[in-house]
Amino acid sequence: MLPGVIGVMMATEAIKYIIGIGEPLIGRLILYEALGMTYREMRINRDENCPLCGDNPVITKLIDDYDAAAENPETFAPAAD
Amino acid sequence: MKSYRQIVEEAKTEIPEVTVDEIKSEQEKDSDFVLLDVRDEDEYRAGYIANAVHVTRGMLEFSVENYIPDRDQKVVVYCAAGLRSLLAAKSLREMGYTDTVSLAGGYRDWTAAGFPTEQDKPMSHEQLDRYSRHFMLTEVGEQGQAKLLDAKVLMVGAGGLGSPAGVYLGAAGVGHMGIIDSDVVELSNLQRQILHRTESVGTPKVQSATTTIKSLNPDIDITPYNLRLTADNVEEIFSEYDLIVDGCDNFATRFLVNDAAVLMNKPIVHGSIFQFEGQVSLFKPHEGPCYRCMYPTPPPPGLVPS
Ligand SMILES: [Zn+2]
Ligand SMILES: [Zn+2]
Repeated sequence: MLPGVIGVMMATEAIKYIIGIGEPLIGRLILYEALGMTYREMRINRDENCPLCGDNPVITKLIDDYDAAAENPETFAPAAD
Repeated sequence: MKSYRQIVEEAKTEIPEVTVDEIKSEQEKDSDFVLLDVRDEDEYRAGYIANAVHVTRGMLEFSVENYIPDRDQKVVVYCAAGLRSLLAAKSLREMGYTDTVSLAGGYRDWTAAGFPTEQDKPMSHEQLDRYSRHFMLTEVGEQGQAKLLDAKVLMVGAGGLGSPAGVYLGAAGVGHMGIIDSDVVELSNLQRQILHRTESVGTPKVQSATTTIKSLNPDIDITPYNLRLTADNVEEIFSEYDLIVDGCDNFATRFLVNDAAVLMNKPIVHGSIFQFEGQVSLFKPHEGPCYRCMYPTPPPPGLVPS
């Protein structure tokens, strides 16, 4: 049942975004826990040191093999030049 | 008791009227005013004056503030022939709008003068019926529905999250959907992946998903991608879409989707679940965080949610 709740929230966000109404979940993470039936909102901020969208990104193109990288997380970001 | 004529005469003493020629030349001078169309949906649908804000007379008091928040904004109200607009302009004054005028002769005189009009892409009778509950929500309305029908949304994954998302996006009338998944339907999927059916076991998920969404809403045009998203194909596929709905079930794909979306400046609706907890967010590149802002690299293998 949990994927139903989350998937419908995703559809709701998509529709709000397309029409341009309401408060989008930009910078907010919704956490839903089914057993306790609790629902929390967390602020999430852009990290200026993010390797991808930070102020000095080291990832400026896709890495070659995401499957291989997933097996060995240290390789997930290319080394900084 | 007042007659209709008395009410109109009273309104005329309070509300200035302007002619269509005056408004046309104000438009050409780029004067600062808002045109407010208070006619019914079917009248508006047949054509309206460019850039007009549409709020039906019946919904005026409830929703005009959403469209015209500044009560000192000059508002030129029009209807079919200039009577409803007088009464609407009077109601606006009662609500505190300070500068409301009524267009004499209304849309009738506007078109008779040969001035230009616009019309939204017409919806079929079936669409007007199918989406009628959306039209009752003023925030959605026919304009919002037209945006949904024009939208191009890519769903990554037709599994646990992609199923409910795809069903609702299709039902709501998101006009163009791409669905990527390289799996075939398994019996153990059916306990939660509501896009698929018992008779689809053994067939590609994208095929089964397309069949289900099409039977729910034949209006939707769906592009199935029976493949695994990789660094080699992601850019070509993403370039066709305005919004990515990421319901994938593995870290390799989630990082790939995130990296490609940031590099290509596409927003992602993110969702993931692990056991009994789920999370949702919207990653809009550079306006908020991306997935890597939260998780620069994936956790070690073995800790893999789905
Ligand atoms: Zn309308
Ligand atoms: Zn980032």
